[in-house]
Formats: sequence, structure tokens, C-alpha cells
Amino acid sequence: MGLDLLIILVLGLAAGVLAGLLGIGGGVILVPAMVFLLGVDQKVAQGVSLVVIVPTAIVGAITHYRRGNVLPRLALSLGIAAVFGALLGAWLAGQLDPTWLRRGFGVFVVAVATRMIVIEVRAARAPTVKS
Amino acid sequence: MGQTGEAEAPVESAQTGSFRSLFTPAGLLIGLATGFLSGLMGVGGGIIAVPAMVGILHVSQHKAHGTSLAMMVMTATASAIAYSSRGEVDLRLAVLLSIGTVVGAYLGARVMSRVPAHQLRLIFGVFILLVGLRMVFS
Repeated sequence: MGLDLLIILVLGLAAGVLAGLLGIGGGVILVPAMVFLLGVDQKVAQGVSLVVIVPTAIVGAITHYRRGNVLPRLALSLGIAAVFGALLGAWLAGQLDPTWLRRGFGVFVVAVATRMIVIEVRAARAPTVKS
Repeated sequence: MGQTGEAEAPVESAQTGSFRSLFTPAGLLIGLATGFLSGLMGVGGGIIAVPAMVGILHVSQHKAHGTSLAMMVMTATASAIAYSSRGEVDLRLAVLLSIGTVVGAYLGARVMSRVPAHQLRLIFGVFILLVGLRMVFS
């Protein structure tokens, strides 16, 4: 029981550090970690990930806001549209078979990873270009 | 296409404009797409929101990142409620993970300037590629 708790805390910490360090979203790290390391069902992993994102994003948004890096009107307008999109996406996720949802998630991760790799390889080839 | 044809970060200057300037076709599409991805995959959606804001709305990288986080709060909340209504949230697990991620994200962001971000991102990219492939084929 105590070990489980420790594993989960460490997992959260690792995911948070990676996300903060690499500028990549926590969900992409957390969902596979929960599925493969904790044996959580794909849909539950996604649901948990979303709950975790809320406080993490609040903290991040406040930090960025203090540096003047949040455009409130844009965030609000995008956010309103996004809520509608999110309800649609969440509904669809509920309809899908977990195995296929997991595979779809895998495709999404492969796309994200490929994009990351391509960007970094390009950046490595152009050392004189400031990022 | 609304404001995107104008020069010099129109979206940023629109922050002081009228209420009607809030909604542009591009913005609505970006919001909908980001939200849809977030709800479908259980992620934040910043992965497409940030590049879309930078590339289509001509927002600066840093402001896109911050704005994306603010947007994500609304999106993730809506999605989380939807999943929760189907009993697909293990709240205990979520709370425990959140403790770790909030602390971790703060630490990670602080250390960011002192580490070789490009190399780490490349290594992480390869690693997560393998993870993704495993998810597809297992």
C-alpha cells in the first residue's frame, strides 16, 4: 500500500518534470505511464489525466500570466470553442472500444513524437539559428 | 479570414478591442480542434494549440504557450466532467498524481535553462515514439 503510493507520487513527479522541462504536455506522458506501468484502463487513464491537467494548467497559467504571457481574450474565446470540442471528443471516446481508443492514442503519440524528432533534428542541423 | 490578414500580431492587439473581435473563424476552428483532441485523447491539447496560435494567429511562442495553458484549464475541466460522469475517473489516483505533477512541473520549468533541451527532447522523442508504437501494436 505504501509502495503503491510512493510509485504514484514518483510517477507524477517524473511526468511533471518532463512536461515542465521539455515543454510537452503531461497527458502524453501520463496516459501511457498509467496504462503500461499501473495497468489502468485506457479510458480511466485518459479521465485521470484530464483531472490532473486542471491544477497543473492553473499553476502554469498563473505563472505565465504574471510574466504577461497570457492573452486573456484569446484564451477565453478559444476556450469557449474548445469546451464544445471537448464535450464532443469526450463523448466519442466514450463510444469507442478501449482497444481501438488505445491504438488511436498510440497513433497520436507517434505523430507527436515524430514532430518532436523532426524539429530537433532540424534544430541540430542549423546551429546558427537561435531557437 | 478576419484579423489574420493584418500585420503585426493582430490577435495580440485585439486584446483591447471590442467584444466582437474575440471570435474569428480561425480561432473557432483552432479552439474546436484543440478541444476535440483534448476530450478524445485525455490530453491538454496544447500540442496543436500552440503551433496553431503561432502559425495561424501569429502569436508569439511564449504568449501562445501561456494562453494555451489558460485555455487548457477550461477544456480539461469540461472533458474531465464528461469522463467522470461515466465513472472513468479514479479520483484518488488523480489527486496523488497531481501532487507530483504540480511540484514536478515547477521544478522542470526552473531547471529548463540549465539543461541541453534539444538533446533531451530528441531522446525523449525517440523514446515516446517507441511507446506510441507499442500502444498501436500491442
